Order: sequence, then structure tokens, then C-alpha cells
Amino acid sequence: MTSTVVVVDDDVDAADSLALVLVTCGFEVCTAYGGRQAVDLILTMEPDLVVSDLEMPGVSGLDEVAEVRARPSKQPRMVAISGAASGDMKNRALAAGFDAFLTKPTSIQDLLAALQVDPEIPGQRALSD
Amino acid sequence: MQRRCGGTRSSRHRHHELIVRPRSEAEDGEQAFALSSRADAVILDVHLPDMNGLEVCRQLRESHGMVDVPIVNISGAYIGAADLVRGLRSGADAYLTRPVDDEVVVANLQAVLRLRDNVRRLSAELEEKRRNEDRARDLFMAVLGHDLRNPLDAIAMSSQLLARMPGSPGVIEQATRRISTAAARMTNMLDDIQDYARSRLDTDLALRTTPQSLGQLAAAAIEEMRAANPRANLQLSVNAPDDGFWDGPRLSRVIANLLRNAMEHGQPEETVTVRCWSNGAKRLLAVHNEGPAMSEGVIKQLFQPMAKRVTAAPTGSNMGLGLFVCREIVTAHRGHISVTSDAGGTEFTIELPASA
Repeated sequence: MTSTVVVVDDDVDAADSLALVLVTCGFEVCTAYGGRQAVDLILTMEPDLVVSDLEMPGVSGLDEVAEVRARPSKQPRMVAISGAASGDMKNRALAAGFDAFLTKPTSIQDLLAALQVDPEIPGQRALSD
Repeated sequence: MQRRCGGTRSSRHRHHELIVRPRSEAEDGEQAFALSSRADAVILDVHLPDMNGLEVCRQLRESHGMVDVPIVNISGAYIGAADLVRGLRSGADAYLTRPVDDEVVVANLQAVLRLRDNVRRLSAELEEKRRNEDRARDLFMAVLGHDLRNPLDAIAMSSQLLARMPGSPGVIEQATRRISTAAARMTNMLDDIQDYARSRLDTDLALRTTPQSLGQLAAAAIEEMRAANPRANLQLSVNAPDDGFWDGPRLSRVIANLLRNAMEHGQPEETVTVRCWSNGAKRLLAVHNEGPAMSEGVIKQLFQPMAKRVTAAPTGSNMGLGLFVCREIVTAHRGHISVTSDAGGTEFTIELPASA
């Protein structure tokens, strides 16, 4: 069964290129360009995975993960991706409920490792070497 | 103006309190130094017994904390035009000749104090403006180091995707590799900018230390450098132990910066050598090139951020932050970076405690 991913970034280029990588890897991808939209999408779609930026106007990545984690709905694996490469930001992201933390720019290899993708699923193997 | 007992005349004009010592108290030039250190202004009699009054004036002006303290010379003995000129040239702000009214002395003092206050206020304003501008630049750098990562992330992701598509023809493969190395170099620069801004804004570098090997970090840095410059002549020698507990990505950046620096300041065919060795609990890494010797003056400026470039090397990727950031990272590891330069070449050495 295909894994579903929600990609969240207020930077459209960053969100779309990340989504394209994941689509090529065989995921079913939905994109949100803000934290508010992301929370709505995650709660209705109930994806397996979320890759989310942290610093966004309005609802930030930290607000978003807290809201998702507070709901009784299905809990996706959530990966934070941020331009603020400090240890402090990583600690805050993990404390808020993210499962992994990536620094921009990241590599496809690191992204798939953070998502804990099973290499046996067809379509996801091709790009994970 | 009021008179007090004990031979001290004092007058209060606006916020200035003026203490005038008669000659019985500031007996000679030597005593004048001790007394003037806490004065707002100095009135100097150019007729002191043990030291030429003009010499006292000159020395007062040069002594610590007296640079902008107004000095008024008064003389009953040296009253010619040449004396006035000499007095003012020795550092006095005004020169009065006796006989002189008290009101004239006070008015002159007020005038020189007014001037001093204006200079101090302007200096403070200038200093404040400079600090604000420095801070604005540092904040700008912090924002720059962060915001450019979004488009760069898109470039890096897309080029990796293209490179991994099966059956990419040769040209696409070359182009994507070029995009990838350029993106990696930009990432390095943004990391430097971000570390620079952090150190300037007094934010902790927040090292993330894990077990590392200096030799492996150096080998990886050399590998990357060769990918970008296939003709680079890079040699590595490693003497164990070279292990330690450090921030791997940051040390990689230090080594990459030193390598790039060594290559930019040498001829393309010359060898750049990287050596790793140990000295007790210390781990050392040196990057050596065969470039021309640097002068003392150049070496002094090397670790300053964005120091004016004094050597004629191609600027390329160098923003003038590389060595500054190297030092910040090495220091954050409680280590030390040093440089030697002579006819045989230039060598940068980093010394790190095995456990930072």
C-alpha cells in the first residue's frame, strides 16, 4: 500500500521540490503552504508521514505538531525540516512532538532515513541508494 | 562666586563645579597631575617653579583620561603673542594673560567646557550609531543565513532528483553534478554566515558532539574538493590516534575552509598537504600549501571577519568569513588555531582536545 505524506512549507519552491522528490519515490503527496492549512489537511487526510517546515507565519511548525499530537486521531510520523540549524531548534522540535529533525538543505538519503521508509516497498527503493 | 576657607576657591555654574587650587596647594607640576585626574577642567599657571608650565600642559594632555579635559593656561610672565601661540600649541584650549578678571576666567572655562561637552555628546552618538549599524548588519547576516536556505533546498533537492533519474544522458549528469557541488558550496557559505552571526550576536554555537575521526573528516573534505576541482593536488597523511568527541559537520567545514584557502592562495599545480597526528590528549590537523610567505601584517588580519583583503588571490567563494568562522568553531571546541608562513609555504594548524 502506498504511504501518504503531507509536505508543509510556506516557501512554495521548497515545498514543491520536496513533494516532487516524494512523488518520484512513490508516495502519495499532499502539500500545505502554511501551518493552519497543514493541521486541517493532516486531521482530514490522516497521512502516514508529515514533513514540515518550522518557521512559518501564523501557525508555526511547533504549533502545528502540538495541535496534531493533542488530537485522538491517527498519529503520523512527523519530521521537522528547518533552516535554523542550531541544536536548540532541534531540541525544541523534538520536545514539541516531532520524531526527527532535518536541516535545510537536506539530501534525499537523509530525508528517506528520517521518514524511516521501508526499502522493500516498490517505488521507494529506486531513489534510496 | 563664593569663597571658602582653607584657601580653596570654588564656584558653581550650572552643572559644573569648578575647584581652583591656589599655588599653595598645587604647589608644582608634579602635584598638578595628581589633582587634575578628577577635575573637569584644569587652569594652569605658566610660571611654575619646578617644571615648565607648557611641559606640564603637554604631559597632562598625553596622560590617561586627560585627552579631552579642557586646559586653560594663565600667565603673568609670558604674555607675548609668541607665548600665546606656544601655549596653545602645547595642548591648551585657551590662554589668558594677567591681569585678568575672574568673570573672564569663568567665561573662558564655560566656553571650553561647552566645547568638550559637545565633542563628548557627538562621540557618544557616533559610537551608538556604529553599534546599531553593527547590530543591524549582524541581524541581516543571521536572516540571510537562514532565508537563503529555502531556495537552496529546492535547488539541491531537484538536482539530486535529476541525477538519480535512470538513464540520464551525459550532459544532464554533468549539469546536475555541477548544480549539486554549487549547492553544497552555497550551503557551506550559509553555514559560515550563520555561525558568524551567532558569534557576533553572542548566541551559543551549540555544538553537537559525537565520536569523530579527524582523518576521516579530512578524507571526506578532500574527496569533495577533488569532485569540484578534479586537477587539485591534495595529499593526506594520518597518524593514529585521530579520534575525538566533536561537532562533525562543523569540523568538516573548518577543514573545507582551510583546504579552499590553501588552494586559492597557491598555484594550481602545487601540492596541498593535510596531516593528522596526536600529542597526548590533543589531536592536531595541519593544512600546508606552497604559496608565497605572508607578512606579519597580513597574518595579524587573517582571523578578522571580512578584513580587507591584502593579498591578490582570486576571491571566488571567499567572503572573508572562512578563517574567522574556523577560529570560532575551533575555540568553541576549546581548541586552538595557529598559522606559520615562510618561504617553504603556509601552514594552518588546529589543535583540539580529544573530548571538547
